[in-house]
Amino acid sequence: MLRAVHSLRFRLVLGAGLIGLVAVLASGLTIQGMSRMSQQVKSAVTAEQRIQRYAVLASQVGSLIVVLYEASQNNLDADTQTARLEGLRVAIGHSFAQIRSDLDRDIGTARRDDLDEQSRRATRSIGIARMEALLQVTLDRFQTIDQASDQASDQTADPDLRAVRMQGQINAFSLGFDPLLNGAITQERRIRDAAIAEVDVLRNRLTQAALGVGALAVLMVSGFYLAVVRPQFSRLDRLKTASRAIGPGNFRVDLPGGRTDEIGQLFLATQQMAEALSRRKSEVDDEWSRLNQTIFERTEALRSANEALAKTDEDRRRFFADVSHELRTPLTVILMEADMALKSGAETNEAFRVIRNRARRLNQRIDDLLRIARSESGTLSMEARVFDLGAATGAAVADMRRVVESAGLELSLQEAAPQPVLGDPNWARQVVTGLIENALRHARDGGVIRVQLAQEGEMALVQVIDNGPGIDAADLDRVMARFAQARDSSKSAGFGIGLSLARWIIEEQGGHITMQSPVPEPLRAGLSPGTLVTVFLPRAEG
Amino acid sequence: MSEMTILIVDDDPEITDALARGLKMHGYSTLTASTVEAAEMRFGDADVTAAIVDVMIGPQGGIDLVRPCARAAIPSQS
Repeated sequence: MLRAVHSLRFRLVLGAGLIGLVAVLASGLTIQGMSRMSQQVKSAVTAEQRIQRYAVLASQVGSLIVVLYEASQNNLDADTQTARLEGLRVAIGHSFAQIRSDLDRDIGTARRDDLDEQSRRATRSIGIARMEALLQVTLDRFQTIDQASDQASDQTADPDLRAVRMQGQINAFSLGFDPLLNGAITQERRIRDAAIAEVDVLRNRLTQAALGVGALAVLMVSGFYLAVVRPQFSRLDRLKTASRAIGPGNFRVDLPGGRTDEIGQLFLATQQMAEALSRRKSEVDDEWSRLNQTIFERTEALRSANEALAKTDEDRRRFFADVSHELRTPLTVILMEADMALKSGAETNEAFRVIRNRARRLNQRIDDLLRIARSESGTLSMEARVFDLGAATGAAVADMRRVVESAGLELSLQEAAPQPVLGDPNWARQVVTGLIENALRHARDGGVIRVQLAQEGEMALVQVIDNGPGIDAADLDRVMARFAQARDSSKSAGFGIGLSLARWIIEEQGGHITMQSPVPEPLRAGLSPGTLVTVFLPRAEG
Repeated sequence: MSEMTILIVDDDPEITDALARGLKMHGYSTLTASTVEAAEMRFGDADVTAAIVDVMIGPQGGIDLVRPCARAAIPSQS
């Protein structure tokens, strides 16, 4: 209930209701005033009407008196007189009847609880009845006198006496009737004047009441506006200011609490919303900074991990370089000593030759190891992507060109259109490099190493052709077999990358390696039989 | 006339020794140095006409050792 009283809606409805009530009051007042006014006017009008009737009665009675007087003089004949008298009697009786009926109606309209008024009106009826009775008595007496004089002999009858008696009756009637009639008229006039005066009073009272109601309405409207409506507008303005501040993200609004009406609830809701938004914002900010911190930490961790990895990689490379140096230095000494011993023609030549060959093979294996070590991953992992075999071959040739040329050989690469193949470009390059090194080692005397590209069905080819002494058919079989049996490395001639490794690498990429000797005629690089090694790699689609 | 002498610079005595003997077999006389300092002192010798220098020697390496000599010998190209 308290809540309902504090409710703005309740107060607005109350205010509107009160103002409406004033309007209803004004209407009621008007209706009531009109009705009373009309009653008074009606009262005045009927009073006036009755005065008119009295006036008619007075004139009729005046005529009657004249007729009676004339009758007393006996100047007219009896028939004419009787006719005139009868006509007036009827007319006066009619007037009396009308006046009575008016009065009866009037008494009926008087308020039932107003006994004074009722008795006053009844008193008037008594006055009328008296007048009627007086008239009747006078006429009766007049007739009695007339008949008495008629019965008397015309001779004995004294016309003067009759006239005197008749005039006495007339005078008595006049004296009795006049005050009664005047009294009745005076009373009606008083009623009429009282009604008119009452109209004035009513008008004044109505005017005052209208002014009072108008003033009350103005006061109530002003009070309603000042006390109820205007404060709400100023509160709504505060709310608007606060809402506008919230929009761009200023959540520090300060709306007063404590009032529980609709706007107060809106204040509270807005305040809570702003606080919730503010909390949310600070949470988001916290999350954000935490996220940034996390990102920063992760970045740092990644960077240090990367640094550690780079260092590990560097360590690994250095390790391999150190190992290579440590392994090669003694090997170089062994090789030099063996070479010198062979050249000096010592007796143990065969032994030195074995030492030299094994030392060379060891050297080549170290090269293989180092090639793997220098590769990006340090393992034999292979990519499978589309690359240009021509470009990889070109790179291998460029790598080897100086070595080959400083050995006094000619290295030629037959330029060809790009050959897109699927595989690992790095390893393809190393395989080709290895094949060139191999040719250099075995066909130094041929003077020419030729590298060319071709394609055959689904495969792209790299052919390395030398002009060396070639390999016997039996040896070729053995070498080919050794491709398959890599572990049997006895008497290996030493392929740079190792035949088994080269074969493995190419087969991992979906290709294969073949070796032919002597070189088929159209491909031959010179007069010697030479050796043709062909690497097949699958061509890329499109 | 002084013989053509080849200076061999390597910190591994076995290598300098083997190289020296090998070159001697081919008729060259040799000088050996196992440190950068020793090598720099030998560069001044008028007899030295060529040098075989280990790349991995001393803190700066063999190339740094050789570069000033090359510059002095071929001033127009420096």
